[in-house]
Amino acid sequence: MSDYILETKNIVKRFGNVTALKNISLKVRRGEIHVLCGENGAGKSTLMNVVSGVYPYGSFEGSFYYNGEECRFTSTRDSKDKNIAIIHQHLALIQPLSIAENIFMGREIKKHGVIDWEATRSEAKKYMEQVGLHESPDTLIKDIGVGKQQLVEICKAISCDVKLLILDEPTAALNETESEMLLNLVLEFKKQGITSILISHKLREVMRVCDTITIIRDGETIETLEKGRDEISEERIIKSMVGRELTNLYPPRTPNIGEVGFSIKNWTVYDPLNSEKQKLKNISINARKGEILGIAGLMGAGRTELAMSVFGHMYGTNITGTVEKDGVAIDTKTVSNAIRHRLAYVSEDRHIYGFISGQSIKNNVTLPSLPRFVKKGAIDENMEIAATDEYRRKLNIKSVDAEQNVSNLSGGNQQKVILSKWLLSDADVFILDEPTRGIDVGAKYEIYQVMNDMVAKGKIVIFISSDMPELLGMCDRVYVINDGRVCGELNRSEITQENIMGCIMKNGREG
Amino acid sequence: MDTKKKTLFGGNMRQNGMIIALLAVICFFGIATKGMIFRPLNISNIFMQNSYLIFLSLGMFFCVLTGNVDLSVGSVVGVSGALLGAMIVQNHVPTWIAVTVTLVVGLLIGAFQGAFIAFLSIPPFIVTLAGMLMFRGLTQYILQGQSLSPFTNSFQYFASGFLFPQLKVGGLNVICLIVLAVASIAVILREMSARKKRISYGFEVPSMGVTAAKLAGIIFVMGFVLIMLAKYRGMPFVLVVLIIVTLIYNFIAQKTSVGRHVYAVGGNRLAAQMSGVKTKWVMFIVYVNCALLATVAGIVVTGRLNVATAKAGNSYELDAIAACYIGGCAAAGGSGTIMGTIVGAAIMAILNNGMSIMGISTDIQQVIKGLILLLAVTFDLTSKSKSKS
Amino acid sequence: MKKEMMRKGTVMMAVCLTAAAAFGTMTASAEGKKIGISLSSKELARSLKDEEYLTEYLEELGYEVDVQFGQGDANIQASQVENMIMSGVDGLIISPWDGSSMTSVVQLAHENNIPAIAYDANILNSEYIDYYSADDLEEIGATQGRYIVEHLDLDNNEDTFNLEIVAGDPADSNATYFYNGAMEVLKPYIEDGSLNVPSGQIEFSVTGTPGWEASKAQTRMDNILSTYYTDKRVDAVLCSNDGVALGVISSLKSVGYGAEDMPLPITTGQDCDVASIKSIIAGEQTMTVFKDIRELAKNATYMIDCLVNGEEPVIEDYVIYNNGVKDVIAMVVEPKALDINNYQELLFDSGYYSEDVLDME
Repeated sequence: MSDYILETKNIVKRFGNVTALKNISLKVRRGEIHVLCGENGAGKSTLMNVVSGVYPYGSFEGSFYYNGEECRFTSTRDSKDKNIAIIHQHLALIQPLSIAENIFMGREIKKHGVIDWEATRSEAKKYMEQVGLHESPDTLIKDIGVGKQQLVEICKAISCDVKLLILDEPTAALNETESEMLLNLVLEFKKQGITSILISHKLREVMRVCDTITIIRDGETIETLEKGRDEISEERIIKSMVGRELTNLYPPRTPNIGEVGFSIKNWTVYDPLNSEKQKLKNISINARKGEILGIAGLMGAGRTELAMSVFGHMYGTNITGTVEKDGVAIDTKTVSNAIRHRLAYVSEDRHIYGFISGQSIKNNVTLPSLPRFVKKGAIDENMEIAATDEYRRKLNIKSVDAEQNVSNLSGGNQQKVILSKWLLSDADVFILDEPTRGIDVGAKYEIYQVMNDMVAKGKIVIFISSDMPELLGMCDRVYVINDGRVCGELNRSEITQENIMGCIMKNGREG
Repeated sequence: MDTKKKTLFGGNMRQNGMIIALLAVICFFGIATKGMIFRPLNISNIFMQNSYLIFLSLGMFFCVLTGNVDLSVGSVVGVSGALLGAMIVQNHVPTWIAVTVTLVVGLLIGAFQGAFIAFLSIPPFIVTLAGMLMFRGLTQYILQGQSLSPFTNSFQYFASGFLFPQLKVGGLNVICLIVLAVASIAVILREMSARKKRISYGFEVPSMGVTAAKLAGIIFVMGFVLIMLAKYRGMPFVLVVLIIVTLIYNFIAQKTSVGRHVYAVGGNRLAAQMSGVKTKWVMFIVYVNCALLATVAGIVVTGRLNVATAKAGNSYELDAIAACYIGGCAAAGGSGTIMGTIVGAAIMAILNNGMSIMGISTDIQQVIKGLILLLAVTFDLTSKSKSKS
Repeated sequence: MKKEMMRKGTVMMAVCLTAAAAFGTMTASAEGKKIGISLSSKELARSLKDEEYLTEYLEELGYEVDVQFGQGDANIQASQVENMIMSGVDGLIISPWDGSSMTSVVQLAHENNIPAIAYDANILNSEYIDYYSADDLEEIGATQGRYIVEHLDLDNNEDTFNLEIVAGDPADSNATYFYNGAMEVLKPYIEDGSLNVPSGQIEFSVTGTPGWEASKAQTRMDNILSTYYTDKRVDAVLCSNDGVALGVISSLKSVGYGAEDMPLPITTGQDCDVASIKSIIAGEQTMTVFKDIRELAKNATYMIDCLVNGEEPVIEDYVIYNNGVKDVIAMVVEPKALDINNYQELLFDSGYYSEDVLDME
């Protein structure tokens, strides 16, 4: 039998024109803890989805071997049969059901065709003790925290006699103690002979538990480091993760930066689902007129929460702190107030918060600015069409006419419709949350151009992005946010991926 | 009617499909009843019999636009009839006071339900289902099993009176002729000014011939209906109210911020909220409006029948919902037009009238209406999925 | 035809029973006994009168009563009766919303030795129902039919009159009896041409009014008038009850009937709804059928009292209704035609209504 429990050879996975994985080769030894590192979008999760059968055989190129045997999974069921378990970032638990029910979901313990609740409970209890989950098996998932839910997922995995456990960002949503416990559990599994693959951004944590680290960047394996053989340090890992050449993807701009025009002071927000938990901790940032201000940070760091809590208190409870525009405190408790104070927010999720599907470009673009189009009590549709056409032209929105249904536009053009909406609303402060996510390169460039035009007119752009090269290419200044705190402020000359990651790591160590 | 259209049959193909369906239904019954449905008295009857349905559909339209329904309207019709009976028949309250009180009660019912829906986020289906039960119960409580009758003449006039029926020239009612003339001129001027505006913005306009054909079609239909009414007793008072109310609501839906906001909430509530739409108030207003129009329908139904009964308005909510769906509103919300809804209600009306005249038994009538609803929505969804691919 | 035979048969039986009646007693103890009364729906005006009189007469005899209304829903009503049985009533008077859905609860009553009688509407498909306090349904229809025949003087007149028919709810079995009773009288005249139905809508299935809803009757009448009466006048409308009659009258008035030169046709009804009494006094509705609920309640009280005390009731005036399983003896109240000429005597002089009800005018 091979030394490797899992081996991938030259895996290539494409989504349309985008190549997510190019030539990935990964070797995981039996019984080790193998860590996958890489930036957001580097291809870690995609790779794990290939291995667990989410993407069936044939939808990718290359091959992978489990215990030396080539695998041709057609569904996740096949990977389960091989005792591979994957625990995703977004937990797959059914909230209104109990812990025991979730553990045995789809594999209910039955006697004479009906569920044997006694056996279910006692079996569940057994696994729960194994992972240190001290709850009643009848407790509902919705009544326990994310950390414990993670443990339920692990119970589910070990109840299937798991041999290879894949954990995708398991500690992202956990606090320090919970993370510690989880990692100890992984070490415990190692003693029992279970192999784990851990995907994580938290380098400090993973360095403690890992045997091997594989670094992935832009869908390629960069290098594999082994504990004992290679020198493992944060600096080295970061360098491998971000070490990519910058090409000229960004339109040039001569910054013309004025005084501070917008600031958020002592902003503290609690999690709406868990009012004990501080999601944002005393954040203070400011932005100058004519400046593109970047907000960097890992997923779940609190960037979107910051933007949405400022914009009409659309996120969070128990919000404290002040928002100032031109030195005057403003009330942004409702979206209409925020709009009245000329704030604009472009959400990272344009399908949910962005556009109104099934309706025309025109109706989408003019929605926040409708009062301006009302003449003698009636909306002047011709004026609306003229205004919409102007932005269709300016932003190069590929569409038939102003009446076209936005649902029939491509992602990039939908995003441009949303930008048009806020440009038309004559906002002064634009908070753009991942405005280029899922958009092709050409459209990205056009959106960068729009951002440059905005600041050229003395507007403020607050640019939230997980794509570091993008922040490097566009921003005049960057705040780094980690775990709900501002953990660094970098001026234009200091903005490098190493520095950004450095701030995050430093904060992680201190926190 | 709809300036958005660039060509006679372009633009909203779905709505044109419905107009064609309506014409088909009219032709079918015209032939099947040997032209009897076109008699002046029957034309007049169709409007009088179905005015309640249009009032209800106008209210229901906005609920459907938000992706919901209001199940309580039938019971609100019942309770407003009962209130009117208690006031006018039992206690001799002057008609105008009784009508005003009933309308205010309608607003209060709407505010009551709207508050639960908008501000406490209780699903509209549940709130209005509760309303349906409560208001039906209140109707029975107020009437105590009695039917209340007769109402005053002034009250009946609202639902069954005519405007100056004696004013006739050559057998034709003058009011109808005036309305026809004014409406024709208004339609022509409107179309022309819309055309001029589009040209001034440099937009495409349909050729003069197409515009003329469209105008001729509209004027022909109006002319036919109004001449028929003129041959009988003239303009039913309730029809005048109906036209004014319909025009107002069409204006609100198409031309005002409130209307646009309802469409936005129906299309994507969160996105609308993120664009500054006060979504809770929109929901509140929609349900207040629906209950208000349901009381108007209650006034019409009670006035025409001249009796307040415990069963009045029974299952009217379903007719109104059906009219909206047949008229092209999407069940998921966010799309549909007032004019489409009127066409939907008209199809229901002609079906009811035509089948009744043909003497089709009531059980079969229900089967046919059910089939028409099913066909209309199926046609809607399949034609939509075709246009997407 | 079969029905006819039955009626004749009953006359003979009635004679025998009349003799027995002389020996009947109503003196057994009712102290501490409870009668459950299940009425179909509070929506019907008459239900309140049923409640009033049944309660009054039963309490006079010393019974305690428990009255419940079924909210127009057979299921709810069945549960209510079950609950009454469980609570230990001694007898049941049931007016079913849906006659065929009471079979199992009546059996339950029987198993608990609780006598039950049907009231106003029959309980179908049950072998445990022996007695029924009822109106003579066909006779009601016949009364309406005869009124039309007499007042148009069809037997002594060569003219042809125009008739339209507005029947009851096709889903209500009583409506069929009313229709049949009336048509038995009217059919010969339609056949010999002295009555003409211009709409051609004669069959029960096309003349029905779903749910007895007045507004539906109105709409149908509108359509008939606009289609078939452009050059004719309608002389009589057979309306199965007061509710639909009011709908029909609203329709007639909307096309001009009721004016000096265009009098309203004969319209029939039944139930003596206050709204219809007012209408009759105002000269609009022509007649209604008076079914004395007091008599109905008295009959029911008498029968249940006998049964609770283990005696067989002695009945003079009855009709046999077959409920699908057996023949049930119905103690019937003879319907009376009521019009402008006798309403004072039948309704107010007799104390059936207080004259206050008219003051609301």
